[in-house]
Amino acid sequence: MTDKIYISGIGIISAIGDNIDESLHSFANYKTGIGSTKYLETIHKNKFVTGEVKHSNTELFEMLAIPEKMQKKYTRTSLIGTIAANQAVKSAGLAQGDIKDAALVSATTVGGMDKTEKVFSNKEQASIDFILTHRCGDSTDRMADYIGLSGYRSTLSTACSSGTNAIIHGVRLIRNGLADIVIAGGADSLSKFTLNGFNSLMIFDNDFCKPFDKNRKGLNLGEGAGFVVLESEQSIKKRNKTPLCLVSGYANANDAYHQTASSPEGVGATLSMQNALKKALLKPDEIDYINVHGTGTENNDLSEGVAIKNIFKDNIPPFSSIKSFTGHTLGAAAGIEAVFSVLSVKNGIIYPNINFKDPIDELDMVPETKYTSDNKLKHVLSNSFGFGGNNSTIIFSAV
Amino acid sequence: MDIFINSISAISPVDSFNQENLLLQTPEMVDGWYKCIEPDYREIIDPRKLRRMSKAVKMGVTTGLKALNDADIANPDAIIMGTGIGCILDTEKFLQQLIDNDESLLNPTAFIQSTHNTVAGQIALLIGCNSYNFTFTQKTHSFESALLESKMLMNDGEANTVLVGGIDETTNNTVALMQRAACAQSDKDAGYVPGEGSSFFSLSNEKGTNNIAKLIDVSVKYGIDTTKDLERALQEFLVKNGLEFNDIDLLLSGNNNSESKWYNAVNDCLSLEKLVISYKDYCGEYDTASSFAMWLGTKLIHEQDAQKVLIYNTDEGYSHSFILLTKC
Repeated sequence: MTDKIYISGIGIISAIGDNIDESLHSFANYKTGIGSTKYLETIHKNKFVTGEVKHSNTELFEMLAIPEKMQKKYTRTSLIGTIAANQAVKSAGLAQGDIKDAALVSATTVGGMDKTEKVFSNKEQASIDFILTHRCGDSTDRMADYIGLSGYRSTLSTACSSGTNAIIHGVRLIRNGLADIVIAGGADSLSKFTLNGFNSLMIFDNDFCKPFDKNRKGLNLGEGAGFVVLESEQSIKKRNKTPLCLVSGYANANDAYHQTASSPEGVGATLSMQNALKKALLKPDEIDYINVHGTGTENNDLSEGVAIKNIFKDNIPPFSSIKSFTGHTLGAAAGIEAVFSVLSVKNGIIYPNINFKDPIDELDMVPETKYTSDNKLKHVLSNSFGFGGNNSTIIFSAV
Repeated sequence: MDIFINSISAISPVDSFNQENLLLQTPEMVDGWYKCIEPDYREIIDPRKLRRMSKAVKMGVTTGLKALNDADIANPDAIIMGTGIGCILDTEKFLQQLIDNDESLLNPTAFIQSTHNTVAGQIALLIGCNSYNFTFTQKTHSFESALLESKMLMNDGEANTVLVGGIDETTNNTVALMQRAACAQSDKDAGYVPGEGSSFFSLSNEKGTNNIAKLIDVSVKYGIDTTKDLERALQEFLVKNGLEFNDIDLLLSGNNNSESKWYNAVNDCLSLEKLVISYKDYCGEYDTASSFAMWLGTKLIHEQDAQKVLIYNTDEGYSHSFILLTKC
């Protein structure tokens, strides 16, 4: 890639913390955010552990100081998305004028589903305000309005790969001269809809998920939001800002195998990693760390592992999944993992893949299980895969 | 870079799918909205696979495959979709099941097919396409985002051919909820007729005998406070593409019968003799209705005398979109 696209800000909220510092503290202390379900109203409360953001909606409204008359416009997805996007904007030190002309690209799979469920179960009495918050794009509009952005915006919904695709769309807006600054990432809240949906697919581990472990049984759902600020070289210079890292490569491919399952050969995953490396003009042995998708399902981890072997052969770089900390946050996952990958490049952090004991027989791959920082990580690759065969890879590089 | 439209395919409330020659008729209103006239899907999709597909998936796959077929493309370099509300039929089905069964013993089929990227994923699956695959869902500008991504992808040299489409299905329940929301907001009837549809296009960056129109540009604007701002934004959009107001000879307006200063302002910018078609008279109001407008505009360029077509749509002033098409 010839045009330089920088990352100048990051923001996050998830089960392991309300911001960067809290999140890193959780990793360093091996403290998972997954636990008993407190805020989601569901009959499965005691059956499944989830990675909830540790706040009620009332507390989230307070965190954002949203006046009561405006609160009806916000769903939980909009709330946590706004918190993360706002943090990213602050971390990049953007002035009001920069924000106004910036673009926003978000990703979500459930959008306002948490409120739709309420409208739906009580069709006559339910407040109509939440009919209007159902569509995914509405959460993006709320974030834009809150942070004072009146430029272009869009929303991606490609299941669990959505967040990376949002960043890719953002990168293109800059490359094509349509924006200098783009806030990109994803936000998804827990909902009865997704909890029951994944349950009907029998894809949950009732206990804590164990990514890349031989005895993995499935995933734990989570919620959260993660955003990065993408910026052109020109804008970085103009603002006299020291960027956190570069986006050096990215790709998107389709597995074209099954609506919900990944191919045993990891066709789409191999293609997306291969094409991202090509775009970054990097050889596989130049990648220092992989943030794997690693959901903890039988199917994903095997297929992803095979794809990693296809690309890296016998020279697999250190890798780990953070999903045993945050849970699988679906549309937000790649946004959240982009933020942590940026911190890997910036501070040399390798995250521990907790709950791992024994490698998968077919793979014999051992993830990193210790938290370490100050490693020299020049290039970090992050994978996100989803339903519909959607596979995406993004590479972050040191400046 | 020039981007050409090589084929179009649409299922809509007017009989667009099988139509050889353009014949626009006001659709029949059923249950207060315009339903799509659906073709015999068995001619295009394997009946065994059809059984599990929802209406959105059937419409999307059928129009997508026809657009590829008509452009003689077996495997495009990208499949890029826009949908405002996604697969709402299966979403409602799963929600209802969840409520009725009190979160127990649920059938996953509706959940699997409820994800927004189902249509793009199914097309990839059916033709074995491992390429780039995107689904946008930005309310009334989902299709515009898909068009913009297609354009940028080609500019970035990552694709020579793109299958791009806009799709939204609707249901009696969604119509009732949306009407209720609209009434509560403005104390009156929504004033428009809801609709649905699926429109797909094969795009190519290669000039050839199979080009039927040119996609010049697409733009979405937010933060427009006055009609003066809108006029300025439209002028900038046209100037950027080497045009003036007077050059546009056909306006496809998203006006949906509600009194709107925004649509009037765009009408006033373009000279009065110019032809204006309110395309939602034929497809109804839905999030990706501008994809039907692009189908109509391409058809009017290809089969009739339209030279430079502007498509304008707005979400009651919150956002505004322009799409510009010309003869090759």
